[in-house]
Amino acid sequence: MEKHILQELAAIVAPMPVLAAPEEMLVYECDGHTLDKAPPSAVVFPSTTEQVVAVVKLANKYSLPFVARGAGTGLSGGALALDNGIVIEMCRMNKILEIDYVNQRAVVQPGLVNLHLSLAVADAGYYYAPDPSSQGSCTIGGNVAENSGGPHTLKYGVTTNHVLGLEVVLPDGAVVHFGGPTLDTPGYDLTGLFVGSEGTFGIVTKVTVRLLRKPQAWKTILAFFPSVDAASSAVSGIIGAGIIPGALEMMDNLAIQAVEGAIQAGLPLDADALVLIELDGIADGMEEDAARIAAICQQHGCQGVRIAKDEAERALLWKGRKEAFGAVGRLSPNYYTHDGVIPRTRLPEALRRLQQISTTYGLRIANVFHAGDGNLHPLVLYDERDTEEVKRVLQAGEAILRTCVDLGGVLSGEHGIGLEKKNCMPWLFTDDDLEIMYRLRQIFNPQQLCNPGKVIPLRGRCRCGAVTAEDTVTPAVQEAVAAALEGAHVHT
Amino acid sequence: MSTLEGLATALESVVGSAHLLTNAAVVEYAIDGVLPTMVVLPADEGQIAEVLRLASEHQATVFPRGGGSHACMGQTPSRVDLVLSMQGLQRQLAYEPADLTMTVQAGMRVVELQRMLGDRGQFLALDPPVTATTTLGGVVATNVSGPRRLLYGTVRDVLLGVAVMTIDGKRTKAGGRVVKNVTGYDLNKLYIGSLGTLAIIVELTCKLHPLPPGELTLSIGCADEVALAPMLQTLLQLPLRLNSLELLNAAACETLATHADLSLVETKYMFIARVEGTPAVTQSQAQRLTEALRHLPLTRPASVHAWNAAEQERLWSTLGELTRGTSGPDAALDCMVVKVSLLTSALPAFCQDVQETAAHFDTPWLLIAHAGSGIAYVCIPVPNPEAPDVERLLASLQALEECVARCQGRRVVERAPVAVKQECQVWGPPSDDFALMCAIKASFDPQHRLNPGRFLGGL
Repeated sequence: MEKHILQELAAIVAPMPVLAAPEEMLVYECDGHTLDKAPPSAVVFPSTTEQVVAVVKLANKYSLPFVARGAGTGLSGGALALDNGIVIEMCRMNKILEIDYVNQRAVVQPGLVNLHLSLAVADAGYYYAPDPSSQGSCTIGGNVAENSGGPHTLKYGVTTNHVLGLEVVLPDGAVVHFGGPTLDTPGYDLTGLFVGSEGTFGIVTKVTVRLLRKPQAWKTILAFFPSVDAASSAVSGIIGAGIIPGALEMMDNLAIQAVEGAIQAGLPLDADALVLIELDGIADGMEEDAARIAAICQQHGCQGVRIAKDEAERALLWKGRKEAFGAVGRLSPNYYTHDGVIPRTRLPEALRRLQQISTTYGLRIANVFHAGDGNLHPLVLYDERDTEEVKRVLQAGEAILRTCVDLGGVLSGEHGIGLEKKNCMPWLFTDDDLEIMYRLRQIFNPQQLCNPGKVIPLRGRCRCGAVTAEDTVTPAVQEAVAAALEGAHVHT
Repeated sequence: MSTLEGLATALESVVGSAHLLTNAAVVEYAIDGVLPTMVVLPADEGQIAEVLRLASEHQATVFPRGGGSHACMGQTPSRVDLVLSMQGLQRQLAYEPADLTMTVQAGMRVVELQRMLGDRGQFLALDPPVTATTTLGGVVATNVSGPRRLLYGTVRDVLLGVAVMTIDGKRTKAGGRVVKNVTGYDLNKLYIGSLGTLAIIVELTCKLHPLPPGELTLSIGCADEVALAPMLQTLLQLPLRLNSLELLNAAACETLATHADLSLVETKYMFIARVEGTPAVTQSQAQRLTEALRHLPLTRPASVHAWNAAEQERLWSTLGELTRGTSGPDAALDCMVVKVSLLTSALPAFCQDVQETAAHFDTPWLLIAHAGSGIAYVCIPVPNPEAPDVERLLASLQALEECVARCQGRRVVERAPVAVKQECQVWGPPSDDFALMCAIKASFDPQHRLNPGRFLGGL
């Protein structure tokens, strides 16, 4: 980056330094999706909305691409700065600005770590519901961009169900407000449209979230099954009986082995599948529901049921689930994960097909997933030093996503499309569907400087090529949009 | 007009003469008294696409319509060329009970849908006030909601996927048929509550819920304003499976008692709470609730009454009718309905302010609030709907707006006589995000032919 631009950037965020040395850029060359890498030209750490505005305006002045970044835990390459863009690292804007228990709201800055919010309100009996497995490090702003989920979304919904209002710096530097502290704001639901736009519609600088009362009681149940099929039908049986647990998670044998090796939770290594069920809510009736769940598991041939006796055992059971990805690291140097979603009833078939994919490509696949929502998380094990194996991993990943789509599902339940899966979008969406998404992005982000090269593929391309932002809008699209805007009835 | 005559002929060849109304029958489809030139009732998506292409050719304005139960929402249109009725698209397309998801055509009637799901022990967790003809597409387009939103949320919390027909007759979709999905931009949210101004919603996929094993409705009297805040907070913070919590003023209680044929005690305010669970669980919740209220330091103790199943049903359906602005035999009660959004904490002060303000007017104002969500419906009776006293109603509205402003809320006039609507911005003033909304509208409907002039700021 040219020196005078660096100086201008430094003047905006002073006294914070601007990082630009090549070795400093290594940290920012990828996020949790490590198969694609692109070093930025500079990294800035704004502390205020005004500084974000100034950085964005500067980027516009010099036509430099930019991307906001939270903790970099994203799993689809959403925070990569393509074309040597500027990374706007939001971690310094990590304050809780307001907590309003009476109205069950909080206003926070985007760099706030997800778990820190729940921790801050815990003593008063509240929490913030979306709980991605990375909640100890991921930020609320990143969650807004990705519309993050977590194990408890089955009952409580994902980020979009808990965000009430946003302050956003648009890609041209204008500041706007969506939604608000009250509900049912008239007009189009731009809060809902913005959440999950993967950083391509602007940079969020303030978030109003809903806080929930902590459940009065929990009951955490672990059931072991001799086969994935039996476990899957037990899951369907529980839901079919009208019970919606707070969480309903599943692990296959490979994952069980990894977790048990890592944390010694006393899991039976001979079980082919494990289902973790957590009831939460009011204490009344919970014992009865737990007994019904145990009976349903028995009916589907479970080998054993364990009910957490106390908070310590509950924490241990959850530790196994939340750290499963890390534990898989014991099995191989690297793993690649997808998070395609299928209708819950297709789980047995999906897992059989994953097994076939494992055999076909000669790769081990461990499964740790949100069974209640049909949200798969196959972990394909590999060694990144083996370039031939890396190729097979990518092919297996594609085959997994194909399977999800074939079974009536979608490409991603919570990780987002980002750079990783954008070229698979045409499997689900027609050109006309994608055209509407293009146009919306064009409205928010007409210069395509804000996180370019993400979410939507170039037409006619089927596979990720070199990492560039070349799919900035084509002249044809620009023309269509200009035509669409011509003669528009714009009231001011 | 000659071009529209050409349109009628062309439309007739698409849908058949039985599905095109150009005569006196169009009167049933009038929007705020404005008669449509024609009404088309397509039978499938293909016909809708063709209708839209023909409408484009003839530069006709298009007004999508479900069952018409909420057609009073929005600003009065200046001219209605073509009403596009969705009544012909009522098919269920996919229903997998074990997945708790369902896909239907947008013209599916809500009442029928719930009956069908109820047979399988499930329901769609939306309970806006509906009529026999209200369609799911209409509910999504207007984003109407009901008391159960306290526990289950609104349309944005249950809609998984949507297919629309754009103004140029192209079918596009967003979302999917699974319960969790971040594949592409979340256009579902954009179509919800867009009042038919962006595209014609043709197909919807929704998340379903198991029917609760039982419900218990309790009414809780509240003798004075000072008790409102502590009672409200207590009710919201107790460990209950509370799916509804309504707050009514005395005028609303009285009307409810009459129209639902219930003997409600006379009280200044009344909370109506509904808990769910097995009979044993609802009973224990009722006890906990009664106990907690007894411990509040109130000057007059709160009276709690539990309603039986038949009474509950009358109570909730009448409450719904009241928030829609009509109730009683032959719609004997006709109200101007103003929906107010405010923070729950501001609700007690708002209630008091409304009481004092209403005292200056000759008819009592009904106030019915979804108390846990900060949504209040203020219903101002219109004594003679055929010849309303417009000045009086405008004065009432202005006085109410001042209450709303004092409580930092926002308001939407959901129902009012046309002459009143013509004198006010029914959606209130737009905010700093309005330029983006205009750009979105322009990209979907550049010629401004979909439900023109009816939505916020003329979107």
